[in-house]
Amino acid sequence: MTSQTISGISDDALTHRLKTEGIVLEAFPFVFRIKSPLAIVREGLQAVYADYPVLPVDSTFVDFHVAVVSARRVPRPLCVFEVDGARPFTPLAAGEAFAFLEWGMNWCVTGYCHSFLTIHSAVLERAGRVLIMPAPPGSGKSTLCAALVLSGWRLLSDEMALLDTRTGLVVPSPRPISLKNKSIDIIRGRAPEAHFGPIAYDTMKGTVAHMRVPADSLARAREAALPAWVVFPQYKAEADASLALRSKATSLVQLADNSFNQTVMGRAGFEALARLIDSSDCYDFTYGRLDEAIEVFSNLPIPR
Amino acid sequence: MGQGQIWHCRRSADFVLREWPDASVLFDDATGSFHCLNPAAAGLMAILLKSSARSASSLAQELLGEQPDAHDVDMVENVLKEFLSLNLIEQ
Repeated sequence: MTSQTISGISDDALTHRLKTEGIVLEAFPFVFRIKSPLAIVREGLQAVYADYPVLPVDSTFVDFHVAVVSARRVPRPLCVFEVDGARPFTPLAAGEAFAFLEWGMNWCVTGYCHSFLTIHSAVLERAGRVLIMPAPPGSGKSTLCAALVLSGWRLLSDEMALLDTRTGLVVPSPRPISLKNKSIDIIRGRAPEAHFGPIAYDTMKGTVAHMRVPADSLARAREAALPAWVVFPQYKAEADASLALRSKATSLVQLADNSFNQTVMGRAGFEALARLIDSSDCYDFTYGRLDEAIEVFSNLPIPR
Repeated sequence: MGQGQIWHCRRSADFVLREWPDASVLFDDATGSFHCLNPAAAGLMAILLKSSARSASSLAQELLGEQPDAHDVDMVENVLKEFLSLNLIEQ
């Protein structure tokens, strides 16, 4: 039986469901029940989650019950994120409501999901092997991730690696790619046909928009894969692309620094990281032009 | 000086050492801390993790695979003092 998707629900019906019982969205491997009376949230879901399954409300186990609701109307409208009825964050401008939902969903996973070792990174796959790109904000991680996806890499996640500590495989969690500021127009320019969600202006991160996951990446969301490359990217304007092997030991420590829950997992987390490093080549990568970067990544050798 | 001191690692069960050719990482499960070690330090730690109490001279001999000179023992003792300051081993 074919499951229902967001694109299969009419505007009116989706608006009504979001305002009342909510929708149960399967964003593999997690299930979110989402409620919101705000039109911008519905529009965002329709724009970038169009092809995600919507499951029955009454018979589905839900990992996270979330909502974005109005918080105040004067002097300017605000919205607030809720999880299980609690409000862990201060309100934001109403125009940021969809971005707030995305950030809140990420927070739920990184804060409460300890069945995987989670690492803040972009994650992609080619030829059955996984590229992990941990990096701090401003490093150009998401821009590079979006460009690689548009050049044929499969998106596992723009935000976090989910490492199965038993198998050593990285489990996909493909959700919309978060782009900021100039990157939005850069990626739009490379892919005019790509779908974007509502633009949130003047957020703490600047201007933010989310790009829809390509159909192939979504269709293969259950295909886990073995890590092969850990690359620490750094964008520098006009810099020539430069890829340099780096120490596995320091890479492990930096991966641990980028992990949301390594401290929770203790020895098992360390050993999982060590196996990941064992199976991967580790690099520092500096780039200033996306086309050069794509060329470098297309020639990454598969580790022996 | 100090060559008669005995060094040992009482908390060896807390540690996991993963070695690579260029550098290694010691994980301390009791504190959740990571320590990057160069190959010589990692080799010394590997000996400490499987040994009972030893002198710096004895540790240097096993690390080098030959009779150490005074300079070698001093170098090993300096690393041992660093481990001691990090609460990884005891005297």
